[in-house]
Amino acid sequence: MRSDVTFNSEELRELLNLWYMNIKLKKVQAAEKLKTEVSEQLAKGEANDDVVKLALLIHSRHHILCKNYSEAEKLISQVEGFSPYLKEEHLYYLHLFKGMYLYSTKDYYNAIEEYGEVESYLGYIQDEIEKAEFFDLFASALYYLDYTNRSAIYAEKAIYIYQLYPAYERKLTRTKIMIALNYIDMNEFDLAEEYLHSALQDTSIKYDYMLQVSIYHNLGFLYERKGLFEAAKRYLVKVLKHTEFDNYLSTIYMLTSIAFEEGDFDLGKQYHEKAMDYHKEKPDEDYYWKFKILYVKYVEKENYINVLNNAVEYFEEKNRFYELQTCADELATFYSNERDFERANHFYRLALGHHNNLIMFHSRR
Amino acid sequence: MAKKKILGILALVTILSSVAGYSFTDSAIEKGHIPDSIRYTDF
Repeated sequence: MRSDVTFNSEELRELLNLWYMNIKLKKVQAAEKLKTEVSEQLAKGEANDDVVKLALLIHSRHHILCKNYSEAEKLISQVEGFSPYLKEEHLYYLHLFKGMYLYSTKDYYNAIEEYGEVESYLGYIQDEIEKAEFFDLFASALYYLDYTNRSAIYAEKAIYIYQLYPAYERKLTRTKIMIALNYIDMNEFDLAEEYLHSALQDTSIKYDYMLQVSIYHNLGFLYERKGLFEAAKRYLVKVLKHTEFDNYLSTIYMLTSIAFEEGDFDLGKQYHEKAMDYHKEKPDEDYYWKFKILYVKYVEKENYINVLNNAVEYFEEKNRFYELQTCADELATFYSNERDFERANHFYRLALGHHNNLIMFHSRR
Repeated sequence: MAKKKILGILALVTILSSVAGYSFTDSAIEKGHIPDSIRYTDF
């Protein structure tokens, strides 16, 4: 509609900001409209080079949102080609989006390297919330990759900014959860508890049930790790009615595991059945195997080794290193006790091979 | 010299402590839940 109007570079920059905002908010339709509008404006050839480069970068971010990773990669490489002529603002977005692209292709090590590069250009970014969101993004990636200390540091940086802006209260609460989870990984359970309860208090002041459910799950996770099963169950059962919770199978997995561990096999079987029903509606193969192993370990013990063998095949195919190592190690011990040394050797090597991969991954930090 | 030694020890401790709890996203190990987080590729 506005194609008859020609924007100058400043106006186009505003349009790019709006496009980027909509991408960050995952508003695909609005982002698509703005993409068309930007393309029309760029076709008029009035924009300066800096704006064109920025548009290419934001377009790559748009592709990441739409999961067109190969297209995103092409644009990122194109902008990288201008490297000597890029300003700090471009370099900030280039490293940020390249990091996102690499993370989405599961190249985690290089993604973290790129995010590390982003930091040196933060001084050139005016928008404080953009900075906080970067710290937040970096911290959550670091958490899932088990860079625990670094994750906590970046989450603290995000908190420092978010707490200055009341509109970002929800993100502040989320970041508290992230710090608590890092404390759990450090076995600093008391500190984790403090942060989770503070986050829970935030949600009761301004009622946000999805955040609340997440905190209940995490409190259950904390107490389960601490071995306080009664407390863990108290929080985990609060999650049960919220089947829309995106970690739902993880919640039931913990409840099933606790029930079996406590010798309450009937309850364990009930939870297991519930999980399988859920899996039928929303399949999750990783959890399917995790539940299967748990079930045969306590209920159908005669199938335990058979299922472990099948699970190893699955986890190996999917590169689920931690689970693969755990199962292979268990099988190696079993075959070793059976004096079947050939098989024992095979599984020890499998477990050790992946153990070495993990050490390599982390020692490259 | 002493400074170098301390730095060396610190580096070693960092590597060892990081290996102690090894796992990463693809590992499917139980991790906590961060609402609206980018766990895999959901940007």
